[in-house]
Amino acid sequence: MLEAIQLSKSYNGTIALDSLNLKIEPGEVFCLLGANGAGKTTTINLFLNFIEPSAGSAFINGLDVQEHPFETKAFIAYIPEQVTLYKNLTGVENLEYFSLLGNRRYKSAELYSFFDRVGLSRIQAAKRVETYSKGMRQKTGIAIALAKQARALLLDEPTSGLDPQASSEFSLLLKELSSEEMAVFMTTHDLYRAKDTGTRIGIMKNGTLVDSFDTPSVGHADLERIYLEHMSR
Amino acid sequence: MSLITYEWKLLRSGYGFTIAIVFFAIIGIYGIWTGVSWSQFQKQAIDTAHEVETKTFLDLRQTAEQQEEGTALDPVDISYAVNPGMIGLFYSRPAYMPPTLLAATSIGQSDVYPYLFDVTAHRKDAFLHQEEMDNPVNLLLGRFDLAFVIVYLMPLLIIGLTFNVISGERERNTWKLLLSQPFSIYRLLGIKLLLRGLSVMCVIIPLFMAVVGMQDANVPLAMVGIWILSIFTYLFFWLLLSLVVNTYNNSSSSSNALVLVCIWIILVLVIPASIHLVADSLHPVPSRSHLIEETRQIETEVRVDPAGLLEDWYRENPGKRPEDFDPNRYNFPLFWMAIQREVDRLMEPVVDEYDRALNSQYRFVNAARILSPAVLMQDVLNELAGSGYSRYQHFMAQVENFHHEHINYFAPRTYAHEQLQVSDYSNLPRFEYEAEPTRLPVLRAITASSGILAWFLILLFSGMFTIRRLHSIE
Repeated sequence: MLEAIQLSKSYNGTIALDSLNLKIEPGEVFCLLGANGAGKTTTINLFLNFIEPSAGSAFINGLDVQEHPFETKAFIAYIPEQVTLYKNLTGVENLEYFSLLGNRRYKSAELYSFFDRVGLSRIQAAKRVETYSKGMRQKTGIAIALAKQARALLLDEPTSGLDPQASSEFSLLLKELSSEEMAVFMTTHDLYRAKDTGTRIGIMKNGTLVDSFDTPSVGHADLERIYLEHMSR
Repeated sequence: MSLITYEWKLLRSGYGFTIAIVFFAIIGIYGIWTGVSWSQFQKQAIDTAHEVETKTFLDLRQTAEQQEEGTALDPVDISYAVNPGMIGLFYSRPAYMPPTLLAATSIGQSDVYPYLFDVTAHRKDAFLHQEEMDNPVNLLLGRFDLAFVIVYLMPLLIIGLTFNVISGERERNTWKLLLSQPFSIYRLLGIKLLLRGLSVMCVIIPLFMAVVGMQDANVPLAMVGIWILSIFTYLFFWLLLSLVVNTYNNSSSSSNALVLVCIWIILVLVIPASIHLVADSLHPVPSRSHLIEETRQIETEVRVDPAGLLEDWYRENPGKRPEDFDPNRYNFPLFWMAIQREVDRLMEPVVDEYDRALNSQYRFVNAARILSPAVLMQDVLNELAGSGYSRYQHFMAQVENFHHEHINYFAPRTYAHEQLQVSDYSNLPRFEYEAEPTRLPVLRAITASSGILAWFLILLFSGMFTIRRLHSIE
């Protein structure tokens, strides 16, 4: 579903991403770990066609994102660290607004059903977003992805700042989505959450994917050790 | 709900939008009221002048009839009623430029340019420059009319509504979420800008149509069309400008607002003022005091020998010299008429110099107006409202012709000591305003409007680079 081939990005000679080769299949949750400035967000931005690669290509569902910007965006949903919606609209209104931008039109009951799936009550969905906690906004972001019928989810440090319970609920939601054959690409600093949520974990340092392994193959302590080893090199 | 409905809801979600639009509507209504008041004042002044003219000449005619019937009692009245010199010099005829159907939309320079003259056989400057001798090529701040609201305040409102159309999304962190949708960001911005633009137009167009509806006659469709199209072009220019400023990735809403207000100051205030100053410097117009001084000097010289002037005329017009003409006996209307004509003749180079400078100024301003879309917009509105310089020139040419006609009627009769007959009253020269064909102001408005379109296209072309990169966050 998501594929990067020799994907590179540099800014005035400074390499932000170096020849990334990556493939994330449907049903897979790939968690990318790395320090600040490692190139995690750059990778997401390249998949979203927000920036142009210096070399290589990013593919979504087999389509080059640069050549098919609209078609590829129809397959993906993006959830940034801060899902800042329109605070003067209610959750359900925000959902309908973004659905319309995603060329999807739903009846009111259908819109509320997406909130049901992400665990937000209809009363909460009918409230203005300005009253929402960060966890509720992240869930609304997922509801937007569901309404869009996205087949891949790009999450940029989505659990940062969430309390443990909200973070756990969010992880469960992602697992549920991956079980429905959605490909999930998530960047995070949270090793525990990566281990808990991901099916595969990658470690990125200075723009290079230095390691990648299946999550079941490592324990929590191993993951921390591997990560710190890479960071200290 | 549709996307447009949501955009409309988002636009109205703060109180700012409603307050701004309502305030704009109120000042627009005030602008219309000012314009309507001014054009009604002009109409009333012209009507009053006509009434006075009709009554005065009816009274004179009755006195002349009484003299012919031998029933007149007051010798002073009789001498006035049949004396062409006295009538020509002291019974003025109004020469007027009536307000047009769209006059209320733009007062323009009509409060600077006289629209009503009391034409007599006195020298030209006695009535022609009685109102204003200072430079009338004044394209700067005029009265608070609808044109002022459109030219000066509408761009400010547009700036207020659009300065954060992109930067606001960036600052709210919704921009990336919008960009991640399979929806053309240009289409979305188009909807956002159009809604803001149309909100402004929803205030202006009804105000304009109210003025159109107030008229007794039908406003030519071409005028209505050009008026609306020009406003749209001007509006789109400011919308596009705001978009281009917004497209710079690093710009914040506050810096956008600052940049846009600076551009507004330059385009709407500084450039028009500079054009005006340069026009004044390059083609200085002689002052009113200079004209008065010259006139007095010439008049003093001419008054030394008015009889000589008359003798010259009698030589050129044999058979017209009255038998009782005595060059040593001062005959007021006779001598004064001759003095006035001679002063006019001698003053011609001075007045021509004034006119030349004024026309040069006008040509300069007309050419330099392309530097500011605000001046172009003001010109469009002035032309369609009939308050521009071209229509004024057209009127002034008619006034001058009428002045000549007036003098050429009364002077020869005065010089020949002919008395006016009752039958002559039907043939006395009277001013009839001849309106320009509609196509002329329309063409002038189209020319100015094309300038605004050129600004729009240049901006579109130059801003295309940043606009095309909108989908990127680099």
